[in-house]
Amino acid sequence: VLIVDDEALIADSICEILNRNGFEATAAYSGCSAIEVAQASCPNVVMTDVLMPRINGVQAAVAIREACPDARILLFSGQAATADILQRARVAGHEFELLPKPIHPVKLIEKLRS
Amino acid sequence: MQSLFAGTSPSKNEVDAALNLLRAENRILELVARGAPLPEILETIARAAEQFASENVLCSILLLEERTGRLLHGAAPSLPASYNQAIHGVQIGQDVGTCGKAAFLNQIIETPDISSDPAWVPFRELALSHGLRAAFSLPIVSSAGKVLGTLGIYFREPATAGEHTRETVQLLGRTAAIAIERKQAERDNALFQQQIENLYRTGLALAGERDLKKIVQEATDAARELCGAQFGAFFYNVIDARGESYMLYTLSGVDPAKFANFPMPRNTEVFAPTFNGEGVVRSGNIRKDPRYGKNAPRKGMPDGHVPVTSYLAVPVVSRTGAVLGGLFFGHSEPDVFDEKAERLVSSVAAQAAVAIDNSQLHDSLVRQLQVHEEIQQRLNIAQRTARLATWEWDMRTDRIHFTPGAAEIFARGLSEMTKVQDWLEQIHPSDRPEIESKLRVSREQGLDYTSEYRVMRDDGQFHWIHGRGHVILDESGQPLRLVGISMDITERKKSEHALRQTEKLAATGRLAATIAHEINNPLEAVTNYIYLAKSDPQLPHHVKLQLEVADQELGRITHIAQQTLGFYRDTSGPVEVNVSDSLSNILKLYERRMSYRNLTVQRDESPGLFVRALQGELRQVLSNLVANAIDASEDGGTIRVRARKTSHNNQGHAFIRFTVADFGHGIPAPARHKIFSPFFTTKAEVGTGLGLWVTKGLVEKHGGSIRFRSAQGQRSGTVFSVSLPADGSGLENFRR
Repeated sequence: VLIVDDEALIADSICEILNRNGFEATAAYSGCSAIEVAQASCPNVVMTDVLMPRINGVQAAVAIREACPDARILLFSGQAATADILQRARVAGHEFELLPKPIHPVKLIEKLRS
Repeated sequence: MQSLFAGTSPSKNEVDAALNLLRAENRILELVARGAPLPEILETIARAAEQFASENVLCSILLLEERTGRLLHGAAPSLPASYNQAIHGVQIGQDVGTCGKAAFLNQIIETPDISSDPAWVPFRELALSHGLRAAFSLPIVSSAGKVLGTLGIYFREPATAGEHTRETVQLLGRTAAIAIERKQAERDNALFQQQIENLYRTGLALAGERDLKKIVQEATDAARELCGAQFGAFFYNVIDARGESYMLYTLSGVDPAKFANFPMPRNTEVFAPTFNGEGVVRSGNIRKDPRYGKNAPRKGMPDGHVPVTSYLAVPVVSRTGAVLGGLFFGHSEPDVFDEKAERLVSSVAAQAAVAIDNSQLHDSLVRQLQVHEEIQQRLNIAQRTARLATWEWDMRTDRIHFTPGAAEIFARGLSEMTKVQDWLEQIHPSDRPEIESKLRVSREQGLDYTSEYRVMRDDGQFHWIHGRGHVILDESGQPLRLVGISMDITERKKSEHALRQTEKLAATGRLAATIAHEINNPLEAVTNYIYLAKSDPQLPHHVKLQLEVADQELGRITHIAQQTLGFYRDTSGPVEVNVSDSLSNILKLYERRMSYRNLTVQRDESPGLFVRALQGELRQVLSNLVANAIDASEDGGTIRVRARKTSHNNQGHAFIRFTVADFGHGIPAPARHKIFSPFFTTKAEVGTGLGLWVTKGLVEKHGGSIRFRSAQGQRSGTVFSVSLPADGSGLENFRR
């Protein structure tokens, strides 16, 4: 699992939670590095924050989907502006699952296992 | 008389004859003075002539009809009636017997032998067959030199009148002139009296009349009678309510049906002087007038027109100089209208003009009054509608006068507010001192007045009134009156209040949203770390419990943040939302929760419903209602969800109405008016108190409304219904 968030605290804590619960999680702190990591290792699941500087989560997700068509991609965000970005992606033909932020670790694990 | 005694020594017989003649003349003059009828006087004169002539003669007095120039029978007691009848009406002329010639030439004519005189040719047989052989005729001449008639004598033999006979006839001729003139004067006098009386009556009748139609008829009839016309007409201009002028007419002495098909007279040369108000047109024979018959197509009177020969037309001119119309008169005989007729008709025309002026003035005054009244009524209606009244306060008498609208604004009726004090007493006690002091300032310093105050109305409600007044000063600059308006501004005050409330809520909402968004990231981090901390296996048990509590409390914070603004808050524009699909998605979200509680959903939607809305917000509204219904339901209960198209407002907009009903315990009555307030909740353990507040905000943002009905006890439950404009029109007013 690749966790992407420009706030390292969040990316790291989620990675640790997932690793403790039997996942194999890696953190990336920007859209750019997320795409690099994905291209290198093609994770099963990518979970990315939406609002990030330079390359946002949706752009990263689109690029990753191109590189790894089989990867499950989840977006998560607590910002109103997310809706705009998602809408634009939807118009361009990209559908992604969206998780609210904050999400309780228990629910996140449930979601990833489903 | 002197001539009778011209001879040097008259005989006694001659003196006696002269005295007898004088006596006879005196008797005749007595008859005249007594006012005896003219035929009787003339007959006495004729007999005297026969008696006092030296020869055996037959006397004939004929009267000249001035207008026609015909000789009419006056008196001829000794001539046979058949002869008199034959002579009666004969036209005077050079060759019309002795009398016809005498009248025609205004000189004495002698015919010593009728049988050979050329002047007698037409009547010779007549005269000879009656045994008349010679004649002598004297014109009877008025004091002004006008021929009034003739006094003639016939001889039974060819002869000439002797000197005595001539003198006798001349004396009697002068006496006859006096008698005839006197009679004519009497007749003229009587006629004049009659005319004056008619004129006076007409004047009275016209002055008292306001009806234009009656005025013109009265004037036409009176003038026709006065001038002796056969036909009369009055063409007059009328100005209708739109200010346009058109012409009407009235007739006198003519069958109106005969005129119905004729067009209105045009401004021809004959009519122009009248319709242009230039002056009177009077003609003895209009058909011979140079102005007549100039205009195509008829070149004169139309066929079937009454036969007008004598013509008299007088313009009717208003005192302002405007031509009101014209009076037209006609007679089939020529030379009927003389100067007097013209004066009489002119006099009637002047009276008619005054009457028409007065009538028009009266009409226009009546119209003005009506207009004024109408304006006043409209003003009153407008003031009532605007909940406004104007007033005037006389500072010297302390009297105040309100327009009728005041009754709608104040508690007291108009008649109960005549003094300023009457008005002040209705004002809220807290506002009254301020108003009193403002009025004092206006009265003492002449300053204009502005105020807002409350009035207690009969319905027990305070109404807000806005008042403004302007001070009117007298010549010396002292305040005299205060005139102004009072306006009921309660509605404005209410909406101002509502607006402030709305603005407050909107600001609160924005603040909450901002905070919520900002705390989402740190919340995520804290949640994660608490989770990590509490899952440390070396953690003492009590610390683990404490972290558990912290985790739960964090959950509540998360819930509040998400509810306040909605995670899915839309910033994109409105879209056409399929109502059925949208409901299915939402119910699916809650499927697990409902099946856990064994709840059944009954759905009932009209097929093919669409609503234009912000999708995320619509979803949040519906899911809040569904979530509330789930929370309110007993386990195993039913939730009803419906959607319908309605058009419940009067602008004809279509609305989509959603209703979500549960059969739970219902909302307690005391809580019902608070359920839309922020932070109010009946679900102490799980509720944030924000759901319905946010829901209501979102619904109103869409231009919709939310309502509910709730019952407790038997058949308890709550129904929420949300109506949204189907075309999203409510959102047009909303711009972030």
